[in-house]
Amino acid sequence: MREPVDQPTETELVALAQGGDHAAFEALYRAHSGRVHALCLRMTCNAALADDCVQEAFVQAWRKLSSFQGASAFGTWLYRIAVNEVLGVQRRDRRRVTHLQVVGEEERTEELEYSHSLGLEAGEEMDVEQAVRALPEGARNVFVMVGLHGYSHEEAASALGVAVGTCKAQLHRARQLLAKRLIP
Amino acid sequence: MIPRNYSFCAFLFALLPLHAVAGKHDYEDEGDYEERSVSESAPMAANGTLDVSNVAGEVLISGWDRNEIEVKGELGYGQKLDFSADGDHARVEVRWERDHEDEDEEANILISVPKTSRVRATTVSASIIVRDVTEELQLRSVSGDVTAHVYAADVNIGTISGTLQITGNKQAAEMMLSVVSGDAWVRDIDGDLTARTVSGDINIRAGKLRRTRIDTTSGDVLLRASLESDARFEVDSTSGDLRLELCGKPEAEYELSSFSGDIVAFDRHGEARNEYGPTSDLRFKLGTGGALVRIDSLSGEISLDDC
Amino acid sequence: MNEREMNEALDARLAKLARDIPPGRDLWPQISARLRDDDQIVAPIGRNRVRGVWWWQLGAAAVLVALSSLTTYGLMSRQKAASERVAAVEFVQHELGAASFLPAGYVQARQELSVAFDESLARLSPETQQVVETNLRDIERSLKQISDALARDPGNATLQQLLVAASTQELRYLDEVRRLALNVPSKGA
Repeated sequence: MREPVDQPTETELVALAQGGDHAAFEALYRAHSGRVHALCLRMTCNAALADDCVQEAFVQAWRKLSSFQGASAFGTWLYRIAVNEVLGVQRRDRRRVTHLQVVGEEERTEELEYSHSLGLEAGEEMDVEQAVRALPEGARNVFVMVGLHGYSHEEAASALGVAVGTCKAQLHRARQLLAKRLIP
Repeated sequence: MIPRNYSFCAFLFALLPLHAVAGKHDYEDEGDYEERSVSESAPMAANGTLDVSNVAGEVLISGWDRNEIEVKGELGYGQKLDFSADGDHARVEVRWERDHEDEDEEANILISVPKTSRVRATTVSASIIVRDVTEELQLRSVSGDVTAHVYAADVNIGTISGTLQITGNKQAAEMMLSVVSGDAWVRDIDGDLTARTVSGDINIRAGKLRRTRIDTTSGDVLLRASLESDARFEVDSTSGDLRLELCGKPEAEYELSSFSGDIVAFDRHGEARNEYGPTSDLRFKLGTGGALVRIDSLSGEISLDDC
Repeated sequence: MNEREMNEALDARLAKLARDIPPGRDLWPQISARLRDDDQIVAPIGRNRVRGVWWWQLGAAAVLVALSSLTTYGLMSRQKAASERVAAVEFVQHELGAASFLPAGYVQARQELSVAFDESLARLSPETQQVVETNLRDIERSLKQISDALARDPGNATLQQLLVAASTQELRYLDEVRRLALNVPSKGA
């Protein structure tokens, strides 16, 4: 009987990747892409944009890998990079609205793609996802980071470039709005 | 990322056909988070000058074929836009209204100018993005990122903690870059390059360089380029590592010296110089030696290779 | 339903939201292609290698005391910092004989720039001030390292060149920060 092969730990994978090992970095991608994608998808509300953000986040993580010292978990460090990508997309998105016509067909296609990317059928969970999606951007950002993905207020405030008080107020507002919509 | 048409999520949701929840599509109470749109335009000469300053948010400057300047975007609460244009010179300034400064607020501005305009942009924390402007650029930010497509004209770009991403057009120009703690990524440039960093890394992929001067304190420098036959290529580093790829092993006089770091150049190794300290030197000549490559380091490692 | 019950009901619904949603398609091939493209230009250099820093034994304890302020981390009062920097450089000039290798007018330029720099620093956000100060310490530390080495080997052309480059870098840095900070609105303006 063969001896079981020990899988490398995440620390070992990071060290290998820092040495230029693509296969190790791919393993890190496989381990974290789902959570990174969930974060990006809920913050951007757009499946295609979320894919772009995920891709860009991992490319930036590879470029900055030498600066990762292990002070935080690799996932935490990676999510910070992903959040920066999303915020950049959101800033560009706000500007495009001022001079682009919204095309109804294109929006419906995007909506279908978003719903499909969640992998949900119509029902309770879809209701919650749609409610999150409809939150105002600032409140949604904080809710996704703090309420769903476990960031502390301080971490989220720092990443979003807002005061901690603003972050807490946004989370409270998000929860009030969600409760108003979801709880009869 | 490939640009696509996008829209606000809330606005999108308002048109959602799949999930009609009667009377509950939009959230109310946007109150404190109201953004204010701006829209300005004026004639502008093809070779005019644009001065831009923005405190926070993003400035996108885009060149077009019209002899006109157009400014669109949103201001954050408490911000004010000053716009003036006299045909040759346009000024766009976003600043705080009197007695109001909120670091949470951002202004996102799109400025379209004649593509042969000269652009000077200065921001505090706002990012700067420039594309399709083919003339001189001076872009400076304290903590914002700077992204620019550059052409054949002179370029001077700097930031303290932002990141630089510069893409050239493979046309010879004079470029000066300065970063402090942010990283710089430069691709497809030719001509003269001066790059300075304290602790940020500099990554360069260039075509043919003529005059190159790179100074780093502790940031690493990674470079791939070819050299003109009479090029002068100089790098000084205190503790940053230098990984340099000079394509085709340029015919040059090579003077490489490191006080305490290793030197490897085209498989040659540095040799200890004297009994007072560990300094390693490597001096050799390839071909007719028309160019000069001088690299000095205190403790950073020097690695020089072919492409 | 009271507020507590509402929060509990909301949390129960939110708990069902997936925290892990795989992308609809495998993004790795595109990511991998970009990494290969990057690798053809550069390869990551690990910062966590220990760099050899040669600290030479200083002949005079006074030199150690005077120059040790340059390696202190954290924020000193800006006026004190400026005067200490100038004093340290003058000491380097007299005691270590590095004056002849410094660019002409360096000390005076440094003194003038330091005053303007300190005024400009106050306009920057605390986070940026921290970055600026940390990097200035980086430059000053490099000057000290080079000066120390030059004291041991005054005829070393490499060290002479590095001292010129590092001192010029410092002046440019002070000036660059000063100019950038001019565009930051004064607090309360």
